[in-house]
Amino acid sequence: MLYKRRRMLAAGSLVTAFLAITGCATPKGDTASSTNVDKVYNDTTRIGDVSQLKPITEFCGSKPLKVALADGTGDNAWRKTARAEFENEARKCPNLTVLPYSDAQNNPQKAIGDIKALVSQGADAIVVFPDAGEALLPTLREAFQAGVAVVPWTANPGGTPGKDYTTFVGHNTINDGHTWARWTCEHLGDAGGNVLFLGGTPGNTQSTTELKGVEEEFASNAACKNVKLLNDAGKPIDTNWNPAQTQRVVAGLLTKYPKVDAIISDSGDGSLGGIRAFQSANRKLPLWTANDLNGFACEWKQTHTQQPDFNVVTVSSRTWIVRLALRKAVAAKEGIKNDEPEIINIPIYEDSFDSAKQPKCEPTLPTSAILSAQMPADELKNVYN
Amino acid sequence: MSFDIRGPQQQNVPVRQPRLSLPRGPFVPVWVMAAALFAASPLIAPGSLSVSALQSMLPFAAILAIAALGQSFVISQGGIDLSVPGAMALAAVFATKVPQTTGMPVPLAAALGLLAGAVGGLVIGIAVVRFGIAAFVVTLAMNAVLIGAVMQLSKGFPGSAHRRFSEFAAGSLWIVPNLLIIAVVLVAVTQWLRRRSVAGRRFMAVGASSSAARLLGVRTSTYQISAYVVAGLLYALAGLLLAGYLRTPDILLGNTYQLSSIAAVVLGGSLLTGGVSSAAATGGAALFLTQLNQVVLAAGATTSVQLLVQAAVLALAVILRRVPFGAISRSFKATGSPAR
Repeated sequence: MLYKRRRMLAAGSLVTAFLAITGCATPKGDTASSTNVDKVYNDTTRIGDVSQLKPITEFCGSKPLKVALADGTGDNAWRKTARAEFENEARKCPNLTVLPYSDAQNNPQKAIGDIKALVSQGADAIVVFPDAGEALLPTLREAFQAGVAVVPWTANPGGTPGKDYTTFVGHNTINDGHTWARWTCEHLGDAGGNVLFLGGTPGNTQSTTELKGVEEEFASNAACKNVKLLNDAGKPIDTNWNPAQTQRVVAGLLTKYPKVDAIISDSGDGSLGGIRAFQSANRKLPLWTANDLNGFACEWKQTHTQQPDFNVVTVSSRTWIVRLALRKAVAAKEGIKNDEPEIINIPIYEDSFDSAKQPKCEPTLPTSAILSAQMPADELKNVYN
Repeated sequence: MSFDIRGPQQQNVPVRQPRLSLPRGPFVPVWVMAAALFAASPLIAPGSLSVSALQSMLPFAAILAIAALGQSFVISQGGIDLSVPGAMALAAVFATKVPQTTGMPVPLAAALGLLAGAVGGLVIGIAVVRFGIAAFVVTLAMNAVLIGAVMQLSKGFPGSAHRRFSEFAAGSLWIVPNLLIIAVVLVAVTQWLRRRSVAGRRFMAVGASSSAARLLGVRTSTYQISAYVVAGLLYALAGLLLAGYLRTPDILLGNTYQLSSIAAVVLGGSLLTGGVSSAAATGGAALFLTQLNQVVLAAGATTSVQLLVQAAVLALAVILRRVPFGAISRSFKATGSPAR
């Protein structure tokens, strides 16, 4: 009896642990309240195009400055590319010294500690990827009030620019949704078709705002009148941006929907899994959108000859926005006015329908390499080795 | 000499012998649950039993079955193994990244990946059996070591599996996925070894009671350490095949298997205290868990609903197995009302 009870206890606690872990293992996106975050992408005074960006040499000034990049996690190709872009941009100003890179390893406590350490090392300007979202706000504010130029980028920590930190820079995710949706409608043509939007982690702001853009475009663009979005309104399909999970999710969706004519995805990595799901189910590959990724372009190159309907469009994976963040931070410390936009509309990077923008596959670089990085070819190669 | 201890009103009731003897035992419920799930699948998500849906699901079930089979070796010795993600990820890196960066032939790199899994298992086994450190702690530490090695070898970037290897992993024999064939063969061989071979029966005897086995002259520590080695080898194989199937796996591809492999073993009817374990039932549980996952996904549920449904079904499955249905139905028949 005692054994039986123990067994039940063990089994029960195992199940509880399993649930707790599956439930809590959801990777963190930006946790800032969505209302606060959404506002940024609707503020037209802050939004602009890449044509309005300027070289850093206009903002170098003369005062010697110590600059630093505080990352939330550093173990993937995207972050490594962004770090290289940051260091490359800083080298263009002779008066900038780059402090050691800090990687919070997905740990909010370490992120806080890292920023405090950089401040105590005398950093003048810190560019932060605030993966921990609002949890970092007090630390950012503290550094900002101590006279450090603090520029969070891509993940919005909430708060108010000018009060909690210098400014926030990022890309216009709503515009990405519009771009993908416009391209999809244009190429589905009058016949229209069924479209699925794949997002990332549950509830992440990036995917929900992108979907907002997609929905707006479908509602307002006459070319989209026969295009049907299969998602529930405002609900991206969660894939965790993970190829294995995306493959499973898409396999499930293919069971549910006998006809899928376009996939709007916001991840090149995840898309690779989604493509595998179509192939395993022996289904024709549809139109596909993503962010640029070497592996995604190579997959298209390999398969498009046998799959004529498989066409792709990508917007840049915009690692280069870290350069804008650095320019904003340096300009603030040097007392030079910087009128570059803060939220950037990302242009189309590759389009398989456009002979000038054919997908770029570089077999010597890893699958997860980002070719839209603004790096010289040899330096880019070093990033991945 | 025996006494009739039944109450006076019960003495006139003839004791009924069961006419039909249904299969019983701890390993039966998982098959009943799996059958029920497959029967219900088309109702929950139409098309979820179509050939293409099954071909998408079965390779994942096969990977989970192989990982869970490894876990069942450890659990049948009363241990627990949390190093599954590390061993899987390391083997995956050997199958993808190492041939790309060093130019090593894929079969050699894959063999090294399997060896790495086995060596990891050997170290765990020695620490647990010879030094008496809790398996929970040692395997968690080994997982960290293996993940560290993965990060070091891959420098944080996943690689892609060789095209031919990937085609094999994603391929099928007629309509049966290759991975499923591998998993079924492994499960069948394990089942046969444990039930029929001398070594296998000794292995199970050590798991049931190592002190009794030692008195019988069995070298218990060898069997206990071998459980971890075989487990490490199987995790590595699972990681290798998953990498091939996904072609471009993410670096930490094994993370979801850490607890699902344990869940499959427990759901299959094995005891966490060791000694009672069935390879076939573990495979059945892997199939059940994967199909459950797939059906919920195909029904188009949101992530929150998916997690809740999986949680509820898992909890129900574990609890139902503990309900003494036999005793309840006997008391029903005897008194005409449920036992109070």
